[in-house]
Amino acid sequence: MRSLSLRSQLLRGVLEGCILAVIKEESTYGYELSVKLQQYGLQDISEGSIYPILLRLQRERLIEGTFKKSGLGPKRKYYHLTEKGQNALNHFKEHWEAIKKPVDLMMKGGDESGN
Amino acid sequence: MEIDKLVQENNAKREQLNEENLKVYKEMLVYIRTKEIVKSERQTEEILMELLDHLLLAQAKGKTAVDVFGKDLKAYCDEIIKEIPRETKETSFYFLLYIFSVFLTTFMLTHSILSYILSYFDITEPYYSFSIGKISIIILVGIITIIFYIIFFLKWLEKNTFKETEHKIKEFFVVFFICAAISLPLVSSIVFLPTFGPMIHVPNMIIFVVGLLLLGCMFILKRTLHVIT
Repeated sequence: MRSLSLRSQLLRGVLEGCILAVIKEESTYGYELSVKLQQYGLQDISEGSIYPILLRLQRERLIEGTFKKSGLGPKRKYYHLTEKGQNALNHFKEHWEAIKKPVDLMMKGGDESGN
Repeated sequence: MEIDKLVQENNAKREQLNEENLKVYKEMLVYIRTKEIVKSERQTEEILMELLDHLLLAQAKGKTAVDVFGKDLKAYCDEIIKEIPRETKETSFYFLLYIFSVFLTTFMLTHSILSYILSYFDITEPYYSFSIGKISIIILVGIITIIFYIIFFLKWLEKNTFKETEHKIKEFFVVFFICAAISLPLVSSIVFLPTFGPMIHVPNMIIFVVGLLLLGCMFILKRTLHVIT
């Protein structure tokens, strides 16, 4: 139980940034986004959990959605980054790099001393 | 996409859900739409469509609504509702204008028809008489009263959305008394205020015609606004 909540705590911090990055890579819709996140290896997030986040990102004007035809399928809401969203993604990357390096180092140090 | 189209498409697509998923999705739909009054209707219908589409694609892979949205569906819906933005001020304004016009046209049409019938039997005059002074004050107080009602309604909705009302009877009386208090200025000004200012006598026919015109304007406004939305 405890490891599950720790994992989701950590995820909660990075999930918005991850979603912004995936949307930047290619304009996408909800279901496709959750599939992509899974393909990247984030198995533990429930598929539905992205929708509150997508709503929040829209409200903060970091992403915008437009209904487009999806190939053979029906019209779907495709999301793309706004300029504000691009800036937010850049900031996230900065913060992530700033945290990732020291944490990786400390984790390595922990292994070597056998703890 | 227009809101009407979204709703229609939602109704049609829902048929593709299997029995269990349909039951769950319908509950979510009703729950979210009910709490949606203050929220943006457009965003609500858009997210409902996205959730439906996702559920359909997941169903094709053998998943259920619980697999997609989690076990605690109410909590999930609450999370979604929380993130839906409020209705824009512009839309709210037109909506209020619409409500106000409904009251006005109802009054105008029923009054003119009723007093026309009564005047036929010589019970009343075929005129609607009012004094400019009193009417303007009543309209002013009326608008302020409506505003207070709306503020009260919104505050109450916010407070009560995420909890089950425990004492329903007590709740009812509280609401009743607050509504009575808000109505007090309006009712007392209608009853107690003396007529002052010049008197106007408007023939009922004119009121009837103006009422019809207002009704026509309302329909046109509704059409054009929905096209824009």
